[in-house]
Amino acid sequence: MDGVLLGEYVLRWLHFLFGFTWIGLLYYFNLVQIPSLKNLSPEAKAEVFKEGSIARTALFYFRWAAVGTVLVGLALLGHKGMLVQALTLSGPTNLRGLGIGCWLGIVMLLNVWVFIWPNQKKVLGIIPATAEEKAAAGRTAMLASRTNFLMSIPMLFFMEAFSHGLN
Amino acid sequence: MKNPLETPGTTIVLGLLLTAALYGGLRLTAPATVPAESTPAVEASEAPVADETSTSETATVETGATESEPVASGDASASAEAAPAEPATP
Repeated sequence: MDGVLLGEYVLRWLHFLFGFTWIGLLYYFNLVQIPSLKNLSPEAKAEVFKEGSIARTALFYFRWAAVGTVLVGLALLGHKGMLVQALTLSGPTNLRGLGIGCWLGIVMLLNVWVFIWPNQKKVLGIIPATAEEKAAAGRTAMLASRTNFLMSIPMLFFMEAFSHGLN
Repeated sequence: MKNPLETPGTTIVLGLLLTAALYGGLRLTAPATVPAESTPAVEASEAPVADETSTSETATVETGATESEPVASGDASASAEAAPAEPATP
Protein backbone atom coordinates (compact mmCIF):
# COMPACT_ATOMS: atom_id res chain seq x y z
CA MET A 1 0.00 0.00 0.00
CA ASP A 2 1.45 3.37 -0.94
CA GLY A 3 1.39 6.46 1.23
CA VAL A 4 -1.28 8.24 -0.79
CA LEU A 5 -3.72 5.37 -0.40
CA LEU A 6 -2.90 5.02 3.28
CA GLY A 7 -3.58 8.75 3.75
CA GLU A 8 -6.95 8.35 2.04
CA TYR A 9 -7.93 5.46 4.30
CA VAL A 10 -6.87 7.29 7.46
CA LEU A 11 -8.73 10.47 6.46
CA ARG A 12 -11.87 8.49 5.60
CA TRP A 13 -11.64 6.63 8.90
CA LEU A 14 -11.35 9.92 10.84
CA HIS A 15 -14.21 11.38 8.79
CA PHE A 16 -16.41 8.45 9.84
CA LEU A 17 -15.36 8.67 13.51
CA PHE A 18 -16.17 12.39 13.70
CA GLY A 19 -19.26 11.98 11.52
CA PHE A 20 -20.82 9.18 13.55
CA THR A 21 -20.21 11.14 16.75
CA TRP A 22 -21.81 14.27 15.28
CA ILE A 23 -24.83 12.71 13.61
CA GLY A 24 -25.31 10.19 16.42
CA LEU A 25 -25.58 13.02 18.95
CA LEU A 26 -27.82 14.99 16.56
CA TYR A 27 -30.21 12.04 16.46
CA TYR A 28 -29.95 11.62 20.24
CA PHE A 29 -30.97 15.27 20.72
CA ASN A 30 -33.85 15.12 18.24
CA LEU A 31 -35.23 11.68 18.98
CA VAL A 32 -34.49 11.36 22.72
CA GLN A 33 -33.50 14.51 24.60
CA ILE A 34 -35.77 17.21 23.14
CA PRO A 35 -38.99 15.13 23.30
CA SER A 36 -38.12 13.96 26.84
CA LEU A 37 -37.35 17.44 28.19
CA LYS A 38 -40.92 18.57 27.44
CA ASN A 39 -42.14 16.46 30.33
CA LEU A 40 -39.68 17.83 32.91
CA SER A 41 -40.37 20.52 35.50
CA PRO A 42 -38.27 23.74 35.39
CA GLU A 43 -36.28 22.49 38.40
CA ALA A 44 -35.51 19.20 36.70
CA LYS A 45 -34.52 21.04 33.49
CA ALA A 46 -32.11 23.20 35.49
CA GLU A 47 -30.57 20.01 36.84
CA VAL A 48 -30.25 18.57 33.32
CA PHE A 49 -28.45 21.69 32.06
CA LYS A 50 -26.14 22.36 35.02
CA GLU A 51 -22.37 22.35 34.64
CA GLY A 52 -20.98 18.84 34.10
CA SER A 53 -24.39 17.48 33.06
CA ILE A 54 -25.04 14.95 30.30
CA ALA A 55 -26.61 17.66 28.13
CA ARG A 56 -23.56 19.94 28.33
CA THR A 57 -21.13 17.09 27.66
CA ALA A 58 -23.19 15.93 24.70
CA LEU A 59 -23.27 19.45 23.28
CA PHE A 60 -19.48 19.74 23.62
CA TYR A 61 -18.85 16.58 21.58
CA PHE A 62 -21.67 17.51 19.19
CA ARG A 63 -20.29 20.88 18.11
CA TRP A 64 -16.63 19.84 17.93
CA ALA A 65 -17.40 16.61 16.12
CA ALA A 66 -19.21 18.75 13.55
CA VAL A 67 -16.03 20.77 12.99
CA GLY A 68 -13.90 17.64 12.74
CA THR A 69 -16.27 15.93 10.31
CA VAL A 70 -16.35 18.80 7.83
CA LEU A 71 -12.64 19.66 8.03
CA VAL A 72 -11.50 16.06 7.59
CA GLY A 73 -14.09 15.54 4.84
CA LEU A 74 -12.76 18.54 2.92
CA ALA A 75 -9.19 17.32 3.49
CA LEU A 76 -10.15 13.90 2.12
CA LEU A 77 -11.63 15.44 -1.02
CA GLY A 78 -8.55 17.62 -1.43
CA HIS A 79 -6.29 14.60 -0.95
CA LYS A 80 -8.16 12.82 -3.76
CA GLY A 81 -8.06 15.91 -6.01
CA MET A 82 -11.86 16.19 -6.04
CA LEU A 83 -12.45 19.23 -3.83
CA VAL A 84 -13.06 21.91 -6.47
CA GLN A 85 -15.25 19.72 -8.68
CA ALA A 86 -17.34 18.56 -5.72
CA LEU A 87 -17.87 22.03 -4.27
CA THR A 88 -18.66 23.57 -7.65
CA LEU A 89 -21.02 20.66 -8.44
CA SER A 90 -19.21 19.99 -11.70
CA GLY A 91 -17.76 16.88 -13.27
CA PRO A 92 -19.36 13.43 -13.39
CA THR A 93 -22.71 12.75 -11.73
CA ASN A 94 -21.25 10.84 -8.79
CA LEU A 95 -18.97 13.76 -7.93
CA ARG A 96 -21.85 16.25 -8.26
CA GLY A 97 -23.90 14.04 -5.96
CA LEU A 98 -21.07 13.95 -3.46
CA GLY A 99 -20.86 17.74 -3.76
CA ILE A 100 -24.54 18.08 -2.77
CA GLY A 101 -23.76 15.99 0.32
CA CYS A 102 -20.78 18.24 1.07
CA TRP A 103 -22.82 21.42 0.87
CA LEU A 104 -25.54 19.98 3.08
CA GLY A 105 -22.85 19.10 5.64
CA ILE A 106 -21.29 22.57 5.46
CA VAL A 107 -24.68 24.27 5.95
CA MET A 108 -25.32 21.94 8.90
CA LEU A 109 -21.97 22.90 10.46
CA LEU A 110 -22.79 26.60 10.09
CA ASN A 111 -26.20 25.92 11.61
CA VAL A 112 -24.51 24.37 14.65
CA TRP A 113 -22.20 27.31 15.30
CA VAL A 114 -24.40 30.22 14.14
CA PHE A 115 -27.82 29.19 15.51
CA ILE A 116 -27.73 26.15 17.78
CA TRP A 117 -24.76 26.80 20.05
CA PRO A 118 -25.28 30.58 20.65
CA ASN A 119 -28.91 29.92 21.61
CA GLN A 120 -28.00 26.91 23.72
CA LYS A 121 -25.58 29.11 25.66
CA LYS A 122 -28.57 31.23 26.73
CA VAL A 123 -30.59 28.15 27.65
CA LEU A 124 -27.69 26.72 29.66
CA GLY A 125 -27.10 30.03 31.44
CA ILE A 126 -23.61 30.53 30.01
CA ILE A 127 -24.92 33.83 28.58
CA PRO A 128 -27.21 35.75 30.98
CA ALA A 129 -30.82 35.82 29.75
CA THR A 130 -34.32 36.38 31.13
CA ALA A 131 -36.80 33.53 31.33
CA GLU A 132 -38.54 34.79 28.16
CA GLU A 133 -35.24 35.06 26.31
CA LYS A 134 -34.31 31.54 27.41
CA ALA A 135 -37.62 30.18 26.18
CA ALA A 136 -37.22 31.93 22.81
CA ALA A 137 -33.59 30.78 22.50
CA GLY A 138 -34.60 27.23 23.33
CA ARG A 139 -37.21 27.21 20.59
CA THR A 140 -34.78 28.69 18.03
CA ALA A 141 -32.14 26.11 18.96
CA MET A 142 -34.68 23.31 18.72
CA LEU A 143 -35.88 24.37 15.27
CA ALA A 144 -32.28 24.80 14.06
CA SER A 145 -31.44 21.34 15.36
CA ARG A 146 -34.54 19.90 13.65
CA THR A 147 -33.44 21.58 10.42
CA ASN A 148 -30.12 19.79 10.74
CA PHE A 149 -31.96 16.54 11.47
CA LEU A 150 -33.94 17.08 8.26
CA MET A 151 -30.86 17.92 6.17
CA SER A 152 -28.91 14.97 7.57
CA ILE A 153 -31.26 12.56 5.75
CA PRO A 154 -30.34 13.65 2.18
CA MET A 155 -26.78 14.45 3.32
CA LEU A 156 -26.16 10.84 4.38
CA PHE A 157 -27.76 9.52 1.19
CA PHE A 158 -25.61 11.67 -1.08
CA MET A 159 -22.47 10.94 0.95
CA GLU A 160 -22.78 7.18 1.01
CA ALA A 161 -24.53 6.46 -2.29
CA PHE A 162 -22.22 8.46 -4.53
CA SER A 163 -19.10 7.29 -2.66
CA HIS A 164 -20.09 3.66 -3.09
CA GLY A 165 -20.97 3.14 -6.71
CA LEU A 166 -24.11 5.13 -7.55
CA ASN A 167 -23.54 7.09 -10.77
CA MET B 1 -50.62 25.82 12.01
CA LYS B 2 -48.04 23.69 13.78
CA ASN B 3 -44.49 23.85 12.43
CA PRO B 4 -43.74 20.41 10.88
CA LEU B 5 -40.22 20.58 12.34
CA GLU B 6 -41.65 20.37 15.85
CA THR B 7 -42.29 16.64 15.43
CA PRO B 8 -39.48 14.18 14.61
CA GLY B 9 -41.81 12.07 12.44
CA THR B 10 -42.81 14.89 10.10
CA THR B 11 -39.17 16.02 9.99
CA ILE B 12 -38.15 12.56 8.77
CA VAL B 13 -40.86 12.64 6.08
CA LEU B 14 -39.67 16.07 4.96
CA GLY B 15 -36.10 14.74 4.89
CA LEU B 16 -37.10 11.86 2.64
CA LEU B 17 -38.97 14.24 0.32
CA LEU B 18 -35.96 16.57 0.20
CA THR B 19 -33.74 13.59 -0.66
CA ALA B 20 -36.04 12.60 -3.53
CA ALA B 21 -36.22 16.19 -4.80
CA LEU B 22 -32.45 16.67 -4.75
CA TYR B 23 -31.82 13.30 -6.38
CA GLY B 24 -34.40 14.08 -9.07
CA GLY B 25 -32.76 17.44 -9.68
CA LEU B 26 -29.36 15.81 -9.97
CA ARG B 27 -30.67 13.26 -12.46
CA LEU B 28 -32.44 15.91 -14.56
CA THR B 29 -29.29 18.00 -14.80
CA ALA B 30 -26.97 15.05 -15.48
CA PRO B 31 -24.90 15.57 -18.64
CA ALA B 32 -25.52 13.06 -21.44
CA THR B 33 -22.72 10.50 -21.63
CA VAL B 34 -23.25 9.55 -25.31
CA PRO B 35 -24.08 12.16 -27.99
CA ALA B 36 -27.46 11.44 -29.60
CA GLU B 37 -26.18 11.63 -33.20
CA SER B 38 -23.60 8.89 -32.56
CA THR B 39 -26.06 6.41 -31.05
CA PRO B 40 -25.78 3.25 -33.15
CA ALA B 41 -28.83 2.07 -35.08
CA VAL B 42 -28.07 -1.59 -34.51
CA GLU B 43 -29.65 -3.44 -31.63
CA ALA B 44 -27.52 -3.61 -28.56
CA SER B 45 -26.19 -6.98 -27.58
CA GLU B 46 -25.96 -8.17 -24.02
CA ALA B 47 -22.92 -10.28 -24.81
CA PRO B 48 -19.97 -9.35 -22.58
CA VAL B 49 -17.16 -7.57 -24.34
CA ALA B 50 -13.59 -8.27 -23.37
CA ASP B 51 -11.70 -5.87 -25.61
CA GLU B 52 -12.98 -2.31 -25.41
CA THR B 53 -10.81 -1.05 -28.28
CA SER B 54 -11.86 -3.66 -30.78
CA THR B 55 -15.50 -3.19 -29.74
CA SER B 56 -15.39 0.49 -30.59
CA GLU B 57 -13.87 -0.25 -33.97
CA THR B 58 -16.49 -2.88 -34.73
CA ALA B 59 -19.33 -0.59 -33.76
CA THR B 60 -17.91 2.12 -35.98
CA VAL B 61 -18.04 -0.21 -38.97
CA GLU B 62 -21.56 -1.36 -38.20
CA THR B 63 -23.03 2.10 -37.84
CA GLY B 64 -21.11 3.60 -40.70
CA ALA B 65 -19.74 6.34 -38.51
CA THR B 66 -16.49 7.93 -39.59
CA GLU B 67 -13.39 8.22 -37.48
CA SER B 68 -14.27 11.81 -36.70
CA GLU B 69 -17.50 10.61 -35.11
CA PRO B 70 -16.49 8.18 -32.42
CA VAL B 71 -19.31 5.98 -31.21
CA ALA B 72 -18.29 5.45 -27.67
CA SER B 73 -16.31 8.59 -26.82
CA GLY B 74 -14.25 6.52 -24.41
CA ASP B 75 -17.30 5.43 -22.44
CA ALA B 76 -16.95 1.73 -21.68
CA SER B 77 -20.66 1.19 -20.97
CA ALA B 78 -21.62 2.81 -24.29
CA SER B 79 -19.12 0.56 -26.05
CA ALA B 80 -20.71 -2.51 -24.55
CA GLU B 81 -24.17 -1.41 -25.69
CA ALA B 82 -22.97 -0.79 -29.24
CA ALA B 83 -21.21 -4.14 -29.60
CA PRO B 84 -22.85 -6.62 -31.98
CA ALA B 85 -23.12 -10.27 -30.98
CA GLU B 86 -20.83 -11.39 -33.81
CA PRO B 87 -17.99 -8.91 -34.34
CA ALA B 88 -17.75 -8.03 -38.02
CA THR B 89 -14.44 -8.33 -39.81
CA PRO B 90 -13.25 -4.90 -40.90
